[in-house]
Amino acid sequence: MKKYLKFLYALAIVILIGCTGDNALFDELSNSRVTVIIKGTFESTTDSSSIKGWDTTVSATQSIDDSVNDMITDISETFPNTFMVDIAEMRLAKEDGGSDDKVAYDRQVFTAAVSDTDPFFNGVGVVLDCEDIKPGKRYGMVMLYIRKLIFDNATQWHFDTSGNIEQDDAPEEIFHEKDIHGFDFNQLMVNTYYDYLKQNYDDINRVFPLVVPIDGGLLVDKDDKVVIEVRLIIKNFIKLYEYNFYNDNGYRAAYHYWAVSDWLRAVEPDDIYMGGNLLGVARVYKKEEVATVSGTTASSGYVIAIPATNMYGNPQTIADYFLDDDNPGWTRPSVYEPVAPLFPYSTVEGYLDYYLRYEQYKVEYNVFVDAVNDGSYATNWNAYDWYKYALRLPPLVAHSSGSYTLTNVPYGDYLFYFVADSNVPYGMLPDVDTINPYTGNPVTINSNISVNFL
Amino acid sequence: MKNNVLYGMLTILLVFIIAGNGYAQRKKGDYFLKPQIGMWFGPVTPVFSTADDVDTDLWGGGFMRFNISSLPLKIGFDSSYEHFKSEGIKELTIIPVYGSLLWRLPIDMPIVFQLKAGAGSAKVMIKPENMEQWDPMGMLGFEISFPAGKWINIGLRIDYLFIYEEYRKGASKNGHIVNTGLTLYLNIGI
Repeated sequence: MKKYLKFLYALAIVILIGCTGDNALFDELSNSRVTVIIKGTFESTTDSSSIKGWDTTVSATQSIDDSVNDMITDISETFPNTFMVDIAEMRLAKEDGGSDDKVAYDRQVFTAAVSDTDPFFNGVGVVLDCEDIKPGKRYGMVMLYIRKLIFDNATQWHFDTSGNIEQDDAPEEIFHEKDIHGFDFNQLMVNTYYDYLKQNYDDINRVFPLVVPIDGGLLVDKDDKVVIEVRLIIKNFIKLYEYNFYNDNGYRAAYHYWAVSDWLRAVEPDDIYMGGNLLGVARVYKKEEVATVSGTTASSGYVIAIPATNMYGNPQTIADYFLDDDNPGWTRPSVYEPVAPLFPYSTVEGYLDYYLRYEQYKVEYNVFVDAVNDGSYATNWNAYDWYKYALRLPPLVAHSSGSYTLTNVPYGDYLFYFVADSNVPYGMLPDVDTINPYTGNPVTINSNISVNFL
Repeated sequence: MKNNVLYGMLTILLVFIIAGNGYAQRKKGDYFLKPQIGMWFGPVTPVFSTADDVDTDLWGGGFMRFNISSLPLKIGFDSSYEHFKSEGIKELTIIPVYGSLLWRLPIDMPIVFQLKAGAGSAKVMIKPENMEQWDPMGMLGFEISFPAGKWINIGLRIDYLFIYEEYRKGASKNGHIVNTGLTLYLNIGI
């Protein structure tokens, strides 16, 4: 019996000494020190009065893209009321895109009203549930696996047998297992037009994942509580586009749908792919180490702040962020494979129009072949694509109507800039030439301060 | 006809002899009463709140047991290694070390049924935080086994492990694991 008693003693010792540490590990496992906030604004501030209101004008000069050319029916188009997002998962990856970690792997959907009070558009943002990230690992990009991006108020049209335009029922989509009216433009964001010119375009996907660079990178210690703010430029940055389709019987129809502006990569009539235009930027801050910057400006416009040095400690300026439309790489090359004309209508005029277009198509195709042979086709398109990739969006932005409040500015040295509203028309972002630096640059921020542009 | 009856009686007698001998042998030497060491392998499954964070995996462990005199009770000592992954970067590793009391159900069959309860500590390690500590734990379980010769028993086990952490400051959760596995018992000391 003695050996059993000894064993029981040993057991008791194991039980008694077996309580070391005072952490709540299962809570720690379950909870996250990371908060991911997704916004649909160019502005980063959480102050709703420093975010430009929606401009819901529907006009050819502002919000209707030039790709809407076959079935122009301005008066029947209305600005969208609802924006819907379906995100499959989110990962964080190193700056080179490698070694990605899944931090949110449950599908999440958001529905935002196109209004200045919806959290998605008023600076508050919506929270994407996510897990902890690895301490000590430097992340450089957020990878958002986007399943759907839908605006409502899409319309559908077709040509009847006499060539007249008739409106059909509104297009339907399935969002969150429900039928809704709208158009999922995410499916057209898979490739850029440039991708489409490449043989391997089937292997390229721009929205699954959408790669959003983290300005300044992300590196946390074990106990840091951080916010990852991901901004997708949606507000005041959407346009109406046309998607044409037809069948062998000569039936021609079109969707008119709302999607992000083609400011960066122009979408031209009959283009199918419009990828590369969903622009985003991510930044990271610790809740305890941020300040609020407020100030005044002489006119309404955007106040922009960027870190004085990049994540490697090298000095930078606003020219490292925005592009210059004077650069030869800015304008979309005019050399591309022409599109064959569509089938003729069953009228004499329709056939005449078709054959005329077909002759034009042949001429354009000969020009195209020459450009391919002399190499200018590839050179121009490569230069265009590379220049567009150079765009970086600033981490800190507030809109000023004379005064502004820029919140959640991490401590550090910053360069402040101002660009007037007149230089940022609807559906566009600033050109680097129009952005003016603050005279007091650089600004050191370690507490709440004022930066006045007056 | 006569021969058939004779053969039939002989067959029945033979069956009785064989069966009776087997029965007598089990009574004579119940090797399951011997000290045992063993091992198990099978799915380890987080349940309740723990299931929200990590997924099922395959792991195993080992044990040793002593009978308390001729009572249908054994004292056991168990340990295992259980590593749980998730779809993301969360990982949980648990090394339970506990003692247990096993009660053999008084069912007169070669198959052995055992209920068990135990307590001890579990080393808990989590990632990506890279934190670890020992937590107290409790165990409830059930085992079923059958002899495969006098040296070996083969069985199945189901254990519920409760890793107690809620008593700690700031804690609101405990660990809940269900282990199921194929078990191999070696009856030693024969």
